[in-house]
Amino acid sequence: MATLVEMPRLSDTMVEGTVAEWLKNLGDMVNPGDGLADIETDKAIMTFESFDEGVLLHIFVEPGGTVPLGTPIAALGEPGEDIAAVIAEWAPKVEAALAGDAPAEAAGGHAAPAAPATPAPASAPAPAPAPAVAPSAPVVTQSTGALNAPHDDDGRRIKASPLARRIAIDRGIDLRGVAGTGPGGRIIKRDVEGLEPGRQLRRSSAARTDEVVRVTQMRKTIARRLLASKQGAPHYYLTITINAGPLMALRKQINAAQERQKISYNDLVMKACAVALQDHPEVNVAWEGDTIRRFAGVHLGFAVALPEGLITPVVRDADQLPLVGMAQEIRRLAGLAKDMKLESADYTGNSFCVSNLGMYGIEEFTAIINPPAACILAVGGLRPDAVVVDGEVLAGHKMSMTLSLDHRAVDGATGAAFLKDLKMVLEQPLSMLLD
Amino acid sequence: MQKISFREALNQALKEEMARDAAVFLMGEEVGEYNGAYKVSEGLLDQFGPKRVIDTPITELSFAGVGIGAAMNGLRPVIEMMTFNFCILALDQIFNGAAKMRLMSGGQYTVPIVFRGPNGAAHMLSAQHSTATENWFVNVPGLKVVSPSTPNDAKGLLKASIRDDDPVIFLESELMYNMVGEVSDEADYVLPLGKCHIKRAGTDVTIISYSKGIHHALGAAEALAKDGISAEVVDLRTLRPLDMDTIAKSVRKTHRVVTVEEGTPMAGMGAELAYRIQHALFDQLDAPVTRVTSLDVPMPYAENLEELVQPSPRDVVAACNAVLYRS
Repeated sequence: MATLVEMPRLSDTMVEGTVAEWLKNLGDMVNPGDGLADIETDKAIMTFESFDEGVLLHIFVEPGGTVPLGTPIAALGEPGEDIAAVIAEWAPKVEAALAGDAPAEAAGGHAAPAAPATPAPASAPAPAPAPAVAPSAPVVTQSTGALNAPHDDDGRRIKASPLARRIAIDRGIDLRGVAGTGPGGRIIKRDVEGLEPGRQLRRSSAARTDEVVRVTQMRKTIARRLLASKQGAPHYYLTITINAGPLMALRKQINAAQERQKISYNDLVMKACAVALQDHPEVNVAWEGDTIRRFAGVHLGFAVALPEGLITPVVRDADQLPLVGMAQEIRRLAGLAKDMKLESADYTGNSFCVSNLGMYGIEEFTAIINPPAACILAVGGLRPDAVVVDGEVLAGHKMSMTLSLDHRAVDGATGAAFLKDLKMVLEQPLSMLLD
Repeated sequence: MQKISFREALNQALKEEMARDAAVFLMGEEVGEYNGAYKVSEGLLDQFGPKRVIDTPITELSFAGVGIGAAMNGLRPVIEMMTFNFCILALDQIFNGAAKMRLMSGGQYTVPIVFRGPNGAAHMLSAQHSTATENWFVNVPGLKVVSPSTPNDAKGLLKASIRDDDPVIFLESELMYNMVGEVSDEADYVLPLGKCHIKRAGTDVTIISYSKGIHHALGAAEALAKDGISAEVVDLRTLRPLDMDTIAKSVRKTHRVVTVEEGTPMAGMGAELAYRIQHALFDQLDAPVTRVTSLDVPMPYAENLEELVQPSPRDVVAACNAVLYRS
């Protein structure tokens, strides 16, 4: 009778494990306590010591394979035992688990409760079924799901009226820190209605623990590329401030005149860059060590913030696109980025980059150069300010932007000449509609 | 507004409907010569004659069946049950005949009939004459169940029940026949079936009841108001079908519910209301729906015990305090 070896729970918070290495070979005798495999948990690689005895007859999960807790990873049995039926039954389920589909819980179900292969942020306050095994500490998420988990840090159920739970979710209140005044300590409406979001977490009587968030591949890439850029490219910065009055007036007119695509200030700034760069090919460049590449077209990267990190889709040949067409292309690429559907050609090879934090009320900032482009323009927000027109101080609007340049490729005077032209285009914005 | 008793309001409704529609007739024990056991049919025999006001023997099953047959053949009978405790004998005709005929005839027959009379306990009538039967009737698809709490509602709802094309169980209360209240002077005053009525508006707790229970609820609301608690009193008026929209609106406002009924607890109206409210409005509730019912015993004869078994305004106040977490 073959024994299924299941992915074990080797850390309190693991919901899945990866087989790092098998320590026994097929046909080897395994005794209880023998190291059977090294398992990578969410915290570390640990040796899994077998609970069972038998000959290692089959391996379901090869090194590198990740499966939820409770999924069979191997089978033990008598020497020479025919376990074809067991393999036929479980192999497809394990394959599905490896592919991230429903976990294949081994018969008996004495393993962990079925958990999704990846701990997706649970936004619903799902009253999770009581785990059969140890109550799992809340998996790290940034949603309110964990805050309103039906259990406190000690695994006790938090008693709250449905209305109190609803209010807590709506306002982001952590029920773990709320003292209930209802029967048996039930948290009721009056206990939560006056509370401010988030503050209760700090008052929690429960032990405070740091959250350790695993770095995604995307964040690793961001870290590597930005570090290389900031360390490798000698950055310097040039700032201009423009009178934004004419730009505002033009935007208003354009948006009143057409309904194909609403034009944003960012669209106008990007278009102005594309126009100004046509007269400054020495800024539309990449440093390549022994050579400097002057790009034939303007390939405008623009930064899009996603929950997972930053990505910069590229508008190809932006110098050949009219304003509305360019705005539409920006929307298309931003939409693909938000859906995580960009292909690598969509976000590589920018010749110039724009990053805009104006919508957050940032007046000005400096950005790290996004290679291969040698320059990135950091755009601040439109702000009411005094402007001088014909020697008179008037109430108006200004906008500041700072260009980061790679000094290896572009010198200060060159960059300044470009910015002078960019300012001129932005302050006489009709010029960007001429081509 | 006229100020008349509950019995006079019912009498007006019968008189107006019999005058309006020659198909309407009244049948039951003592409804004619004696002018009704509770004088609800006073003067009707004189006005409409013995063809339309018919005295029956003490045979509830039989005259219920005669009424159903008449209804299937185009008349609109009103069958008076001297009390609904006696109506128990006629349940086969009502459940298996009146309620199911529309479906079983493929819609060829409708049964426009009203069974009316006092329901529940009166005063020292002992176990066999004190049963509140409404939860039996609401369990039967095909029936409508109406139970008014005021003279005004009694008039408007009885007229609507007589005009309805389906069988209606119209539950009155012996103890309320003498209750005097303002009744609409409108020439033809009809209230819609299937609609709740907010008897008193409030913000802190919803008390849902009907018939006699409404007066316990209003008494409790008055007492709570002295403590600064604002109770909303919802009168179901029609027990089947239930007007969940009005109930939901109230619960969304107050987040706390107490139901009040005269019947015994198991599978009563409050149980159905509690189920529907928690199912549809779970996230709105700040406390479990709490019921006030009779105690789970046959009604005792002794006056002090009879009072103890039945719900009182004091019980309603206690239940409201419980859902408000006031000790």
